[in-house]
Amino acid sequence: MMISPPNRAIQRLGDLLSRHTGQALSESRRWRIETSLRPLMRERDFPSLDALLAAIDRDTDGTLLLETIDAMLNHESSFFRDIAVFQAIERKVLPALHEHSREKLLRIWCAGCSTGQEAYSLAMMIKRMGALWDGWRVSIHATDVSPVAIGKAKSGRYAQIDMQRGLPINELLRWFTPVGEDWQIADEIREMVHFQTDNLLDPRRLSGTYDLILCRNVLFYFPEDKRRLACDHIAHHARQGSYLVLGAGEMLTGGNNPFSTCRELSCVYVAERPMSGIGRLAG
Amino acid sequence: MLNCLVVDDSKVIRKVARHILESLNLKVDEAADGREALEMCDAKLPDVVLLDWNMPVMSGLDFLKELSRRDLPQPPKVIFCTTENGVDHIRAAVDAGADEYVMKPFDRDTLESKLQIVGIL
Repeated sequence: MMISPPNRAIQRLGDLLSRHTGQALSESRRWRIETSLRPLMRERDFPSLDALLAAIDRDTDGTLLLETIDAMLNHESSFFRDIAVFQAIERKVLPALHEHSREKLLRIWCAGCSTGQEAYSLAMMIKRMGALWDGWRVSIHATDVSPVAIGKAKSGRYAQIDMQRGLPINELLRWFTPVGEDWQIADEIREMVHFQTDNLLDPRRLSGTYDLILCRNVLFYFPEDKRRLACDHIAHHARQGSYLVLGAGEMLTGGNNPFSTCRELSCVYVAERPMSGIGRLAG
Repeated sequence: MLNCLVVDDSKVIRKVARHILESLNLKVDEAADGREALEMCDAKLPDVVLLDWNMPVMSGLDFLKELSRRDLPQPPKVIFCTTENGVDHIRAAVDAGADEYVMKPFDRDTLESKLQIVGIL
């Protein structure tokens, strides 16, 4: 017999998630919510979701609430996730940005960077491209709504299972050192990325425009109105000629976005017109 | 359909690997040691070899050395499987000609990722 999850508790948890992150609890995530929260419940000895919610109500400093919300977020990430997309960035997007820049400045924003693998993959890729970027200032700004994910990203320390997925052996040998059961990324790569906690729906840590923006597997967590807002913020931090990379199957919403699909490059978009009309957004 | 040769003295590992690889639309052959694997390479010219490191008769390392001596026109990509994650161990495999490595136990996502990295998928 299929046991229904306790709907009222899940509804409340969904409301908390939405209020603090803007993310909606889809049907598929509803069924996983108890699994996501189980480690936290076990650690704190809460026998049920109702007991967890009651403790959140009693918790005056809000720490438990933040931990609960963090546990509900999806931190799935891997190095060079979707290898074809990274190949497109390396072979087409970055060379195009290199060719058209006058200032020898490359600014990248990874929006929704989770535990940092995507941003570090870009840093390793730029190193791999070698002399092409000599004399350039390269800045990679990576943001995520989860402080826990950002903490892990900043540490640059990954478990063996994280190393297994997507990371080519030569990059592992070049940039990682074993530390006990884990692997530590080299400072040279770690220092290329600036990680900050920030919400894509209300970004406060960004400044100016970026040449390349990655926002992969993030937009589909938002309901339509929030997705539109996120797209507006992305557009606000792009310039004419900026590239945007989304996750497979994700699409931009909002009639005001300046991006067009890049021919033969799946998931890659380019801003083809100036950003007029969206400067009203608070950055 | 691309061919993958699974080389491992453990029947269980070969069975698990076969199941995953077939689900990724690869044709699978099996060998229980390096010597048998070399014969299969000569006869069937696999596109990729999933290679165990510690095996009787001929180890993964010796297999790689022998394979490089054969000077095949299109040598297979080699992903070596190990239970050790020491850098020296991984470097020795790369120096001997391995293209990628995977830690045991592996799952479908991991193996798929490694096959993508070596250009098989």
